[in-house]
Amino acid sequence: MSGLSETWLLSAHGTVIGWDAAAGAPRQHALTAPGTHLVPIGGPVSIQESGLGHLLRRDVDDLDLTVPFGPWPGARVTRAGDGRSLHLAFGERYLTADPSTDRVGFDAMTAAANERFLPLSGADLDALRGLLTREWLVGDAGDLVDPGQSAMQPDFTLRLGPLAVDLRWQLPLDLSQWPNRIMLLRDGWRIEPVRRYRPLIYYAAFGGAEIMRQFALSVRSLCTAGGYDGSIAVLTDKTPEEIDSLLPAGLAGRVAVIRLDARDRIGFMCARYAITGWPDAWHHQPLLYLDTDILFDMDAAPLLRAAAMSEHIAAPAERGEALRSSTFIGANLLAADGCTPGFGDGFNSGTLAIPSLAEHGGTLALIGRILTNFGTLHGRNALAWADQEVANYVSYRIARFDTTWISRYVRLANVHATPAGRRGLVHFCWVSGEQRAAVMQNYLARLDAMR
Amino acid sequence: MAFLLTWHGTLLCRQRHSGILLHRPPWSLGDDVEPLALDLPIGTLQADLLHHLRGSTTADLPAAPPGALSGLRMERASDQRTLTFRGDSAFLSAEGGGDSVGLFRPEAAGWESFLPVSQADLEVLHGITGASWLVRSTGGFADRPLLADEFRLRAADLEVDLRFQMPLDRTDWPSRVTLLRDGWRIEQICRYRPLVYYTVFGDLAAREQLALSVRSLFQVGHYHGDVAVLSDLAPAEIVPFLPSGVPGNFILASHPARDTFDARAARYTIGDWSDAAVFQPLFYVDTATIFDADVTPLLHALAMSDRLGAPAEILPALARSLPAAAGLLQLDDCPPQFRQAFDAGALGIPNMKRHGGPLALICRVLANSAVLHGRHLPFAVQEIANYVATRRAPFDTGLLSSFVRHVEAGSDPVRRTGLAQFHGRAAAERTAAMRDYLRQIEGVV
Repeated sequence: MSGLSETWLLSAHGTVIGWDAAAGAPRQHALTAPGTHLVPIGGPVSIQESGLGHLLRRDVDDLDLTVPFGPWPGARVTRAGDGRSLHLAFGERYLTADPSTDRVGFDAMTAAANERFLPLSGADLDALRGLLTREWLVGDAGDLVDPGQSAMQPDFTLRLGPLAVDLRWQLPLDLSQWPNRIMLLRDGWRIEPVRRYRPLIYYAAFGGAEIMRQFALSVRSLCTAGGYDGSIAVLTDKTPEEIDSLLPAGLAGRVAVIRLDARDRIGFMCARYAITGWPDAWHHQPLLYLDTDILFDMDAAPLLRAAAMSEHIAAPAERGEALRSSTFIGANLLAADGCTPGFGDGFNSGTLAIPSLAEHGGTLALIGRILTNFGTLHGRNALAWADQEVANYVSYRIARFDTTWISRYVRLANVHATPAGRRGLVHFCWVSGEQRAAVMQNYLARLDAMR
Repeated sequence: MAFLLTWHGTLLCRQRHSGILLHRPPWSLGDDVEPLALDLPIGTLQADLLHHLRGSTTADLPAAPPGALSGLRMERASDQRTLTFRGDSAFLSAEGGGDSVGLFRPEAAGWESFLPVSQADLEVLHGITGASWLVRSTGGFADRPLLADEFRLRAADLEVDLRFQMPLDRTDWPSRVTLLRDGWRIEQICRYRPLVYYTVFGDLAAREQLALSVRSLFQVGHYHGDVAVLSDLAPAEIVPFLPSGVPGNFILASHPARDTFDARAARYTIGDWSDAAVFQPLFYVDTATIFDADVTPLLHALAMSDRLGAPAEILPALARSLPAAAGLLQLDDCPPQFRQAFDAGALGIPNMKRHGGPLALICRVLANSAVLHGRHLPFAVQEIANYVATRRAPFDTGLLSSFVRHVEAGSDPVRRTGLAQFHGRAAAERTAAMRDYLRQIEGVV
């Protein structure tokens, strides 16, 4: 519960009260105006929450207090007729915020639309600015909304693209999943999830020239056929200069380089789970890990949006590789742990769609922990398909990776794959290592010819 | 900063006045000693994925430890997790059968191995060994798990090697901890500190029913835990209805309510009470409930559950049942398909950390709806709770349905399942039916 001393005021048309040092008087500012000095209205009493507790205590309508300090000491605060917003008054003169100017003052003789204000905590203020200035996926449909489609509108309305919500029925905002996700209530009750969209696509690329050539081809496809202009990172033993030298001229500098030592094939395969150690990764949603032998052959956006909307980590099903029998996807571990997985197939960990590290970093860390322990206890090469076996085991036991929606986007391919059957991603995992880069190059050339 | 756990499950310490090294149980060190702290980043001492990628746990390990152990050579032991400290001719050893520490043996074995742990790891270990836990895979109950020899943590039938758990996984702390048996088999322990709570408003009948329900909870349900009562009544009006000498505390929380809407909504506000966060599970029951069998299996199952739980509504499926949100779902264009609605006469909350969000959302929608649409909509509270659950956090109706039975007057207590709930008649009649039923059970038990 926030006290008045931490409370800011939002006007009905979506401005906040700031201090104009030159004039020595308060002014109203756009919520997102840079460099404004906002003024808390001052006072020790909680007024913000209008939740169920207040409803039961019957104090929603009973607010009547005097502001002891701040810009207007002595002002009387009462609840407006909507049960949510406030009036501030000196005697019969009400605080008013004129939507046509930046002026605020106690000029109104009656309390009407422009004399209503919503109390905002600092956390709510920051979150509202975040909603207005970042990209979001709105509602169950996941409509992508950029800052140009977001605005404050009259009657305390927050517009995010197609979604308009009345802030009187949202405050204090539910920040339990902020900044990744927030629940808003359309019409005061219809639940509308809003999810942050700031994707990161990352690779783990180590070792010889063949792998690095695959990596360069994959990044090229991402930025051409994939139409992607967001963040890219690579976990690698190479320097930033070496990475840049591999990429087409236009892509130099686009890829964040995270240096790691990895000794051998096992280290290379396990490195993808080390993304949790890169602090910047925690600010992205979703994260998409790709093996270097994967090409984009269609727009990446639908897949990334689906990943951001997902509740689970997603990986494509490895058709025909049954969890109960295929060592390739962890059957030995499951059997050794007494699990009876029935008829389900495992997944290929070459593509991992991770909604966010805030929600799923623990799962990645657990996979890393088991890989590390297993290597120590049973030998570094005890698991031939190291990370894929353990990831399938962890998924089966507790994490429930989703193999449904992402399988529609990913094609596991051999040398005969052609762009005619493209879905979004093509993973050349059934091509021998020495042929892969050439096959990928050829595929890209055919894809370019089609465009 | 790192601390050093010994093979015995004790902590390497230093006597304050003399500087002599000792080892003591970590939670009862005594005033004369302080834990020995190695002023090194814990990441350089604990083996992690980055070490695995490199294929080496020694590359970044400094050979010369700082502080009280300076002069000794620090090395990784053969288990790749613990550290040894070598002097000129012997290794630092934490002796068995006492608390002495010194350079005793020329070879390093268990007593010469020390496991580096962080302050956060120590706090989690303290939390684990000071509380009750359930082993999720077996249901085993462990009251205060033990640190044992060979770096073992023992919780009921589960034993794990702490060398392969560090740093401890705090993702779901303090509700749940994931541990790795044999270094890789996933096990989870779930905190067990149950709270049963009621809401009681207004009339005398509600308090009489509360008295019967609580009596059955302790006598027949064999409950050992705390009970909370949310009420608009003064404590003096409730205390006479509560039994004394039971193995649990009563917590009376003041909670105003002006009408049926408030009274029904109150169960969802438990998260407003900050102490609710320390319990796992939390179990709400209507006062018209008689516990007719041991409640422990139900509470254990709830503590280990991943979802909020409530018994299935006996009315038609969600798609057709107005009281259970069909109207709201229709208005919001959400097909409920074949999902069954729930009856919130019993509500199981595994913990507030993970499930407080959906409960808060129910409260928010209830509060908004009451202002926007009035407080007298038929079935408003249950309909809204079912709507929110269907849209955002589907409740588990299977778990509690097997324990909860709706009974009529004169029901036979031979068919008891755990909870008998009395509905659908006048309050005084219901109280009489509960009294009669409890009397029969007490005769049987």
